[in-house]
Amino acid sequence: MDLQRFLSAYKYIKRSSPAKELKQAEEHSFSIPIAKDIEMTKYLLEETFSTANDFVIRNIKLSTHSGILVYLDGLVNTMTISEHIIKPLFAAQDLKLNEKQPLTHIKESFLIASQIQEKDTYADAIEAILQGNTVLFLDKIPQCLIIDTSEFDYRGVQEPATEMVVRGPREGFTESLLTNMTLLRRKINNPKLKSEQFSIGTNTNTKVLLIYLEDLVDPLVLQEARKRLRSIKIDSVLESGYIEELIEDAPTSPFPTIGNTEKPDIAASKILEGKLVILTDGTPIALTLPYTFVETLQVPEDYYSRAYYASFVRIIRCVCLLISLYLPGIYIATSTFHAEMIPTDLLVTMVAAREGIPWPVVVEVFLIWIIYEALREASIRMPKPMGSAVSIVGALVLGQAAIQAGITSPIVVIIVSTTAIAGLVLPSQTDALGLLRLPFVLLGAIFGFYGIMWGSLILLTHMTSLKSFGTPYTEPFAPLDTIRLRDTIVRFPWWFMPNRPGNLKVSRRSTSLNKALEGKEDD
Amino acid sequence: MRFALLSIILVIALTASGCWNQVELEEWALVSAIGLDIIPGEDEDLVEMTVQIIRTRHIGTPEQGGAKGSAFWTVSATGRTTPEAASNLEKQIGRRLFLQSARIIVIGEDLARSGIDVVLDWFFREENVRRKTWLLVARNHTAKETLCAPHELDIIPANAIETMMQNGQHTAGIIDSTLHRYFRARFTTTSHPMLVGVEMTTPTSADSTCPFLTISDIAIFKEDHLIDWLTHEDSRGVLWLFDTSQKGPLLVKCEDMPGYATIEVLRYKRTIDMDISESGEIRSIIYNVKLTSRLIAQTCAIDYSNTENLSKLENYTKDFILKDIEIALKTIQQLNSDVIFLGREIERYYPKIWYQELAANWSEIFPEIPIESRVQIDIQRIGMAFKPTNYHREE
Repeated sequence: MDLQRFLSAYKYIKRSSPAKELKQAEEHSFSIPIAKDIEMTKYLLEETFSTANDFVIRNIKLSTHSGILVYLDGLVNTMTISEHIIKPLFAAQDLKLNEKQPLTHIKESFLIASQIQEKDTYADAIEAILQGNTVLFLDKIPQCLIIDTSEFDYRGVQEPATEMVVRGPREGFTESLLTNMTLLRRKINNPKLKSEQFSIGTNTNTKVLLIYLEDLVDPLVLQEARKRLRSIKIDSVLESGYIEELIEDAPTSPFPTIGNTEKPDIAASKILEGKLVILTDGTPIALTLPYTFVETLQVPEDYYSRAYYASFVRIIRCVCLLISLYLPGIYIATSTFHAEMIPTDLLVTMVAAREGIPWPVVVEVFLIWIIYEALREASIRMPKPMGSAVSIVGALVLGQAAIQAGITSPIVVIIVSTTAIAGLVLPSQTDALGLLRLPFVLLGAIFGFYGIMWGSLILLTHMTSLKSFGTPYTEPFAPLDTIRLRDTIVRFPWWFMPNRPGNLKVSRRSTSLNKALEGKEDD
Repeated sequence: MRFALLSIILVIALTASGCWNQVELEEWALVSAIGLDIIPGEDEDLVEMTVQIIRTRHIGTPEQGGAKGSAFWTVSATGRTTPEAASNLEKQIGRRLFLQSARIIVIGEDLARSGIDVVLDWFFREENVRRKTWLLVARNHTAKETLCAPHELDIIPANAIETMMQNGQHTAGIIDSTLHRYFRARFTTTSHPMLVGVEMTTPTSADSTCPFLTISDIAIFKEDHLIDWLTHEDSRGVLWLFDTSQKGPLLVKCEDMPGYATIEVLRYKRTIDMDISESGEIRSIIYNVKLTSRLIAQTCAIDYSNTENLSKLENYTKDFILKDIEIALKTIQQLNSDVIFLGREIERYYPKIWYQELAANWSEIFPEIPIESRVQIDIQRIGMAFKPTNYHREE
C-alpha cells in the first residue's frame, strides 16, 4: 500500500470516523514498512504519539543523510543518548557512510550501545519506543535502528512487608521484571533455569515470565501452564492477580490453587521442588504453581531454623488453622445446643457474662467480628498517622465500652480476638479460611455440632476434589505419600528427607488431565 | 445432577436436626444442687424438689454489674413425681432447669427411709444428669433446709460440699457416694447402697450463729430404704474392705507409752480369699489387707528409728485396723445389708455356685458368713526426724 494514500486516508479517518475504525487503521499502519521519505515517518510518528508530551524527535544531520532520533523521554537514559549515540554520530558527521547499508555501517562502527537491532516496520519501531528504546531513522532508508537506552526508576530491593522472617534472606521482589529474574538467577546458578516470555494484555502488553528448572519440572505441567498463559484474553494485566484468576483450576472455589510470594527465596525453593514460577512485570508478587494445601502451613523459616523448633511452630500453625476456622462456630454451637459439654465452672462464668445481653450469641459474634474486620481493613487503608487514633478507638470500643454497655459479653470478644490472632498466624495465603469461618458460624448457630460436622465433611470433600495443574490439592495426605508427609505437619530434619526435591510426580496427576495432555501431544 | 443429589442429601441431613432444641445460655437456670424430700399427703405422698440455683448475675465481677446479695437461690416445688415437681419448679422460676451443672443431689432423711428408687428413676433415665453427681443424705433435716444453708468460703454451697467430698475421699475417708455408685449397687441384686450423710450443725459459740454443713455418718441402705447410720468408728473399717485406699491419717495408740502415732497409708491392696464348697457352703472368706505406710507424727516419746520399736508399732497398727474391720463387718452383717459388694465378689470367682446356690437367698446367708481379715503392714518411713523432740526429756 502506498504510504501517501494511506496517510490521506488516515487523516480522513481520524477526523471523521469512530474509534474502532481508527484503531484498525492504526494497526494497519504499524505493519506497513518504513517509508523512504523521512518526513512521512516523522509525520506518522507525530500522529501516533500526538498527545504524548514526553515524545521526543531529535533531528540530526550526517554527511549523506539527514535523520531523526525518536524516543520517549522518561523511559530512556538521556545521558546514554547524548554520550553514546549523538556524540559518536556528530563525531562521524563528515565521514562517508556505506552507500548500500548506511545503517549497518552506523551500527557497527559508530554507536556505543550494547544492544542494537535493525527493523523495517513501524510496528517494531513503535513497540521499541514504548519500551524505552531510542529509534534512529535515516532519510531514504526504509529501515530503522533500535538502540537500547531504556532506563527507568523503580523501587530498590527491599524487605517485603508481607512475609517477614527472623532468620533467612530479607530481600523481596520489586516491580521490575528484570531485577526479579536476576534475584532468582542469583539463587539458582544453573543454566537449566529457563524463563519463557509471554506478552499478555492487549492494551498493556505486560511482560510475563514463566520460570522453571528444566530438569525438575514436570513437562506436562509446563505444557499446561504454557497453554493456559497463551489462551489468556484480557485487555490489561496490572498485577499477577489478573493472571492467577485467569489460569487457576478452580475459580469458583474459595481455596487458592495458585500460590503467590513476594520473596525470591520462596520462589526459588518452589522452582527447586519442580514447580513453576510466573513473574509479572510491574508487580513484586510472583505466582507459584502447582499449589497444594500444605503450602499454606509452610513458611520459609521452617527450613532455615532447626527442625525441632520448626516442627513445633508448624504444629502451632496447624492448631491456629483449626482455631481460626472453627472456634466461633464451636462456641456458638456449644453455647446454644451443647451447654452440657462446658465444664460447670466455666458455664457459670459464661452465663454470668451472657446475662443482660440483648441478642442471641450468633448476633453477638457477628457484631464483634464485623467490628474487628472493619478495624483490620481500616488499619491497612488508613494513612499511617491515624493509626494510634484507630487503635485507641478499637481497643476502647471493643475491649471496654462494648462490654460495659452490655452490648456484648467479654467471652465473645475473647473468642473473636483469639480467632483473629490465630488467623494472623497463618501465612497470608489463607484468606479462604477467613471466609469459611462464616459458614461454620451459621451452621453452628442453626444445627449445632451436627451442622459443623456436615460442614467439615463437605469442606473435606471439596478439598480432596480440587486439583492444581493436575496435582491433587490435599497431597500428600490424600493421596497418601509417606515420604512427602515428612514435610507437612512436622518438618523432618534435612538428613531425614533424602528424596527432596520431591518432584510432583506424573503418576499423581489426575488421569483425565493426563489423557487430555497426552492426546494433545499425539496430535 | 451431582448438584441435585448433593442438595437432596443436604436438605435431608440438615432438616433431620434443627433449631428447635436451641437454647441461649441465659435461658437456662443453672442448678447447682438438687434436694428431694417427701411430703406425706392424705391420698398419696408428694415429692418436694428443691433446687439451688446459681444467681449468675451475682457471680460476675463488679465491672459487669455483679450485684450484691446471695449468689444462690433455693426454690422448692412439689409434685407427684420428680419430673412433675421439676416442671412445677420451671413454672415458678421461668427458666429451664440446667441439671447438668448439679453437683450434689441431697435426699431428705424421711424420704431416704421411705425409699428413693421411685424419685431417682428420673435421674437414671435423664441424659441431662451427670452420673458423677454426688448423692447425699441429709441427716436429721430435710433436703430443703440443707440446701438453704450458706457456706462461708464458697458462694455456692453445693460447690463447697462437692469439694468437701472430693477432698474427703483423699483425706477423711469418704466413700464414693455418687449417683453412678448408687445405681450400680441397686442393679446388683444382692448388694445395697451406702451413701454419705451431711448434717447441719448449729455452732455453740456465740459469735457464729449460722448453721453449717458437715459430713456426717454413712447411711446404710437396704434395697432403697435407709435403715441405719454407720458411725464414724464403725464406718472406718468399711473402707478397708474396698479396693480403694483409705487415705486419711490413722491415729494409733502407742500402747507402751501415752500418746499417739499418726500413720499415713502409702500403698494399699485388698484381696479376698474364698473357700466355698460345691454345695454352696461358704467355709471362709478372708479379707487380706496389705499396706505400706509411713509415720507422719507422734506424740509419744518412743524412738521409732529403732526397728524393734517400729515393728511393735506395726503390730499395734495391725491390731487397730483388724479391730476396725471386725467392728464394721459385724455391724454390716447385723444390718444384713451387703454394702461391701461381697456377693458380687463371689459371683466373680464362683459364678456357677453363686447362681445355683447363693444368689437366691443371699439375705439369709450374708449375716452368717464367717468373715475373717488379715492385715499385713509395713511402715517404711518415719520422716525426716529420727527421735522425737520430747525423747530425752522423758528419759
